[in-house]
Amino acid sequence: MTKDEIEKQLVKDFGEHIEIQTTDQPEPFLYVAKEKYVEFCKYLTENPSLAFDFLFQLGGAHFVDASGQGEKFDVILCLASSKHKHEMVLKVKLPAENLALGTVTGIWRVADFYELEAMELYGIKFPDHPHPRRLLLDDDWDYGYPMRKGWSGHPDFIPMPDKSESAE
Amino acid sequence: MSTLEIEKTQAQDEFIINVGPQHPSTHGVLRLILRMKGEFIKDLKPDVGFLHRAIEKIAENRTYAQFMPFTDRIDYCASMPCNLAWVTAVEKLAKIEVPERAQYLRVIMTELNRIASHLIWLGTMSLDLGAFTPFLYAFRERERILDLFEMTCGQRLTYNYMRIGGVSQEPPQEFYPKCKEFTQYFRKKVDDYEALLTYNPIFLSRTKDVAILPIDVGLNYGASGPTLRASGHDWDLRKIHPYSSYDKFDFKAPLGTKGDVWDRYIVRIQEMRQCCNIVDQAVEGLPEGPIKAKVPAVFKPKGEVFARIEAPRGEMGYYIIADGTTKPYRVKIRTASFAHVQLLKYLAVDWKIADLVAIFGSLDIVLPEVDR
Repeated sequence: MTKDEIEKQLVKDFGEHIEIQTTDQPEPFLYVAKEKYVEFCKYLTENPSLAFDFLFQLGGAHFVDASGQGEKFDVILCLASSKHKHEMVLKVKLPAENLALGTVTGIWRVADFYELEAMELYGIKFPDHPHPRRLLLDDDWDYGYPMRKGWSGHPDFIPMPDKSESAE
Repeated sequence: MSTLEIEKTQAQDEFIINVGPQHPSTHGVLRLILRMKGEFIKDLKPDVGFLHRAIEKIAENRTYAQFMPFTDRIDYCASMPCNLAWVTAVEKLAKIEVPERAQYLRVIMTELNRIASHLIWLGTMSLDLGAFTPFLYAFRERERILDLFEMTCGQRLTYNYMRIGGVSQEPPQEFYPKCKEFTQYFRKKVDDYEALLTYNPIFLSRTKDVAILPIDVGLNYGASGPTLRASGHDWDLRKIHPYSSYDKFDFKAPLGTKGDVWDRYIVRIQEMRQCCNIVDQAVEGLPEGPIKAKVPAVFKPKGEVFARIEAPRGEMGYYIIADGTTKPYRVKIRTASFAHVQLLKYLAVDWKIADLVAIFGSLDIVLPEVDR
């Protein structure tokens, strides 16, 4: 299916719960409402004309506005279909005060480690995750969520001088 | 990770074995916690993260061009494809047209690196299974590929060869004849490896029908590349979503039939022959022209992009969020081994511990790629 066809089909079936982003990319980019996320993912795999059976990746992202006050999180999934060869980017907005999200490990098994990674690097919570545990960081890690913007850093860390500005 | 979690499920006649993190058969620093019943694996938990270098965080503090050397370190057995994935993503984001000569040079380097990477896999896997000779043979041929890379960009492991919009430099004139000479020589060497291993009765009994991976399970676990093609799933990004002129080359994506360890072996062996074909075609058809597009020195793309390529171990890709500054806002790196390490539990349970090394070897996992 082409980008337009996928978007049309999704609007038809999940109209009020999705928000399509206008981009210049060949794949559709869209947001789905947090409450409908797991149901929507299930629909994406089960609908024969979409058949998104391959979860390419899942990751978090942290956005802070210029004032440094308002923050929000996104969970981003890149999906592909081995049957129809189309691709898609699916996102979920999470407010900073409630970072809980349903798990998709029951739909794509590969989501297991990706969710654990988002959990420890961004602090996104997956309460239904079947085996929550530490993945990449130390067992006794107690220094916050390192991938968040403005992370204060590990106490033993000596930062490198920032040379990228001089490259301009 | 403590072993406590896995101990909870332990029955009376079962015991826990800890493998790694420093263990020759884990090809790096991977720790596996096994719950065993006699010689049979009943449960397996991979403990990763020993090589975590926060490359994604580093990316947020470097410009697009400055991040290039870090991509080399994501998978140091196959740096060129990591370079290629990054430049493909950035070029897709910033809509940069790459000169054809640069695209061909990228293909030559990537395919040579694919051979080198498969040679490491061949050497270590056969070593794990007790065959020492193929290891020495494989590293002898890999040395010649590294010489070719050294001739081109001065590096033998982390090449930093590609640039946004092209490649860093033109290979010297003697590179092309040496390259052809190598592919001719190498095809015969693949026959040698096959003579040593493919139908060797000991090798067959260790690999045939061991740890079968069905296609649907493989897809669900995010398997890709040779691991999934060994199950018979015809999926090669070089053919399905061609990038960097791959549509101009005539090659096959070898397929397995069953998806056992032996299929994963034979698919990679055949893939090495196909790589030689691609390299030959690219060297012969190398167009004249510039090797780098004109890219502004201060480079401020905006938007979001997701690009993926076929790396030696499977699909590799980047998701970039660009906010219109010189540095990316967020970079998510997708590597094949991160998905494959999860597959290990599905494949190894109910096999003997001796089969674990064969199964692990056949997946071709490298740990820097898992931990990033």
